[in-house]
Amino acid sequence: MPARTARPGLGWGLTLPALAIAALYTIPPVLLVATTRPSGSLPFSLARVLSWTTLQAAASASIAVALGWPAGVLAGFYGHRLARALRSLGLPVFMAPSVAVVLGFRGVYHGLLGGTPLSALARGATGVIAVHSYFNIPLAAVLTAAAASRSPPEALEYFTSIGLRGARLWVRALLPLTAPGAAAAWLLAFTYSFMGLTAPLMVPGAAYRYYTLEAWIYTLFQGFPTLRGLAVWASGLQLAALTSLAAAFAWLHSRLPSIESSGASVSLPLRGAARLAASAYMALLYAYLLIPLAGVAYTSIWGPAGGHPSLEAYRRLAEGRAPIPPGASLWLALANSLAYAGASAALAVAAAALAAPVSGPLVRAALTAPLAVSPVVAGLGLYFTLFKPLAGRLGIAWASRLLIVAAHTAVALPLAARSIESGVARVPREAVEFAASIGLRGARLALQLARSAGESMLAGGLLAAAASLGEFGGVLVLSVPETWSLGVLTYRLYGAGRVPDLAAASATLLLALTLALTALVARRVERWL
Amino acid sequence: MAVEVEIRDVWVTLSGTPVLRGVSLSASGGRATVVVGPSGSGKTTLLRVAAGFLQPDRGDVLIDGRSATHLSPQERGAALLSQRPVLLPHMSVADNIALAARLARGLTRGEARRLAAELAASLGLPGGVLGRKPAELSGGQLQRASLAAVLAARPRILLLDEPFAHLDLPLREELRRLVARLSREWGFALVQVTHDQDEALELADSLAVLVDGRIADYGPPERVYWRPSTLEAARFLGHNIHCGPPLAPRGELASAPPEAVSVDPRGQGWIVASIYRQRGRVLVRLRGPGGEGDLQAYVHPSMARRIEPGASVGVSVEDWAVRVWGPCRAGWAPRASRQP
Repeated sequence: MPARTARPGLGWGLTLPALAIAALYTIPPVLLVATTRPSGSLPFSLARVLSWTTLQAAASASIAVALGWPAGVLAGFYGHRLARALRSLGLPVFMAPSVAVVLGFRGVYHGLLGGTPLSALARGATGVIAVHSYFNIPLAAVLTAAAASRSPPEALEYFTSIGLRGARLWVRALLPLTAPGAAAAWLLAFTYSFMGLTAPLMVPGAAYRYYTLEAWIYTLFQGFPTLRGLAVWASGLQLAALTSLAAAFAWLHSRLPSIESSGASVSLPLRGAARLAASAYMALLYAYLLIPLAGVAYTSIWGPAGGHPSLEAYRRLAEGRAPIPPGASLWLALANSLAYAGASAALAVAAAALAAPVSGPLVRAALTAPLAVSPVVAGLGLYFTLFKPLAGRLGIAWASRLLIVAAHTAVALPLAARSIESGVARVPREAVEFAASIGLRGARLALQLARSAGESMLAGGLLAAAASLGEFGGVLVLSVPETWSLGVLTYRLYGAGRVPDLAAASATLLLALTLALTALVARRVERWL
Repeated sequence: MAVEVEIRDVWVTLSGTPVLRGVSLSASGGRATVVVGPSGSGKTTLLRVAAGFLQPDRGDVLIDGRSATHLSPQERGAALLSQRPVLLPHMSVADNIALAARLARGLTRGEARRLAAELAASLGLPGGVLGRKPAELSGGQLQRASLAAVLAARPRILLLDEPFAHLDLPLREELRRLVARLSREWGFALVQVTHDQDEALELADSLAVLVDGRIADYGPPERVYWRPSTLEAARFLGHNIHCGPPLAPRGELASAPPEAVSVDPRGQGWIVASIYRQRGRVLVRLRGPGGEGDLQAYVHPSMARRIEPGASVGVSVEDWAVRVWGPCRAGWAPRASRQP
């Protein structure tokens, strides 16, 4: 979408709520890092952790791009039905709660297929890389398909008409044309994998040895109370790394060639063996993407080692017969998750609706800034700067709830803003200028614009809710048992007493909620790209 | 041997809408067939059928007398150039042109590079442009480079879908004359669609008028313009369509081009409704006696100075340019179709 300048009749003040939410998320960790002196010595080799974090991020991003890029080419240039469907069906994968995916991998590759070479996908270093790359495969497919849709169809039509085909077509045209999308996908996948937390914490055999920096920060904070200063110091490293990655992404984005498209699309023919190969590849890709999601439900019913199907895990959870601390329960975690999702979605949509019609590149960058702060680091910032004062006034549980909602709102804000922006952008500038010329101004004009983008607001709200449901690191840092979300309950069930079937039951509920929300918006996401 | 292309009774329906309905025309090497028609009349679809990008529902495309309907564009030796460049954006201009030459003609890398330089020079592209990416070129350079990439494949049939329409007038004229010259020198058949009648009349060896997916007229451009064979063609070409005098003294429905209508400032009976100044001439719109119908006439600028809106003038029509279509009937209400 082209950059837009401020619309007439809309003051910059309308962006303040959104900017405040973004600032609340990003500034505390920066302040904390700037004012904390570390003491003690790290219980790990920093060089090793940084190397591993970087290596696994690079490997995960490369695998994700390698697996997703051909799907993007097939969708964008060949109109392959299965590949095109991935643009919609990939969203639930991308948004799937990480705890559920890790349990799915564990259930399938460590349980059902344990002992086969595939079990490496749920164990140790390869398990961490497999989970991290898994999330980003649809991202690579979607971004490369978007790059394909911006390619000039006339040029492709001409060169294919004079004999450019087969491998030569891919090497000379299709891959270079989609390379900007692949590069963007690689950098985003690298960033997401760099701040990976759940997989290192939960993949069997990954503990400590294959912790990422994010996992170490959380472990220092949670497990070594005397080393919390070091956790903050390490957070500074994480902030610097992610800010550099965000800057690199912005630079890359500005350098990408702006390819003009007539809006038409090209549909290259796919015949014979190539067609078979493409279909086989897509079928395998779908299997790879869907099996872990099915695996978590399977584990919850058949148990981690297989056996007779039973709903016993759900029964035990529902009746409170689970090894969790007093104060926590399935129902409370479910209520908390829904409350966090509802409140953060409402706040994010309201702030984004006011800001979207006004936002220029700077405001957009500010609203996107929360994506460059990892959840644990942001959680630590909020915990150390605001938790105590709030807890003194409201009590620990309410302070925890408020800060979790604030964190989730900030995480959801970029998604809501992007969605609503895409709707508002479809309102012609001339119509807005006319409305402003007859006296419709400020919040009233913003409201009218947002109403005209009602469908986008709904999509933004659903996405924001899904992001909140799947958010894990922030809640992990900021919650107490009374305020656990379903994700944290799942993690605690898995960690305490190693009860994968109970954890899988909790994860299945969480996954079902997220899938329901993302399925509702999946079709609309294509319009953003 | 010069190529002969024939499109025979082609029917195409797209998304349930008939786009081409029994279209037939032909083109031959070294000669230009130009298709004019309003937007949405099926011009682009016709070219895509000729190129081989679109299969007709019925009808045939014949090349040198043999059916080529199911041949690919490569097998037909056809190249289609539209307003959008055909250059791959990640490659330099030279690489684009060379790639086309290597693919279509099997030249070596060195031969293709030399050909790219020659073509660029002959099309007036500065040498420095060859190393640039398409995004770094101006609109005119981009279209020249696209043309070079297309010509590098030495097509036997060149299909032009208003490729120069968005360029400024001098450049547009230069490029269309260049293409016409190359067509004669290289012997490729040229089929061009346009909505610009001046361009069509200048370039065409044969002129077809396409209206609502049907050929409304087809033949030598002079004949088609001055003596169209159907009322639809006359209407599209901007002819006056009028019931009764001065076109048809006996009250029939008749048409005549504005060039055939003369205005007499000393006469009476017609009111000057409006005056539109154009390049080298002036279009005068006249309201008939009693407000019945309009006529349009081209007058010399010197005469235009002697008349003004609201003035009463006389009108006469050159008989040879008048086509009488029969009795006046409902549905053919007089209206001017060429609005400035």
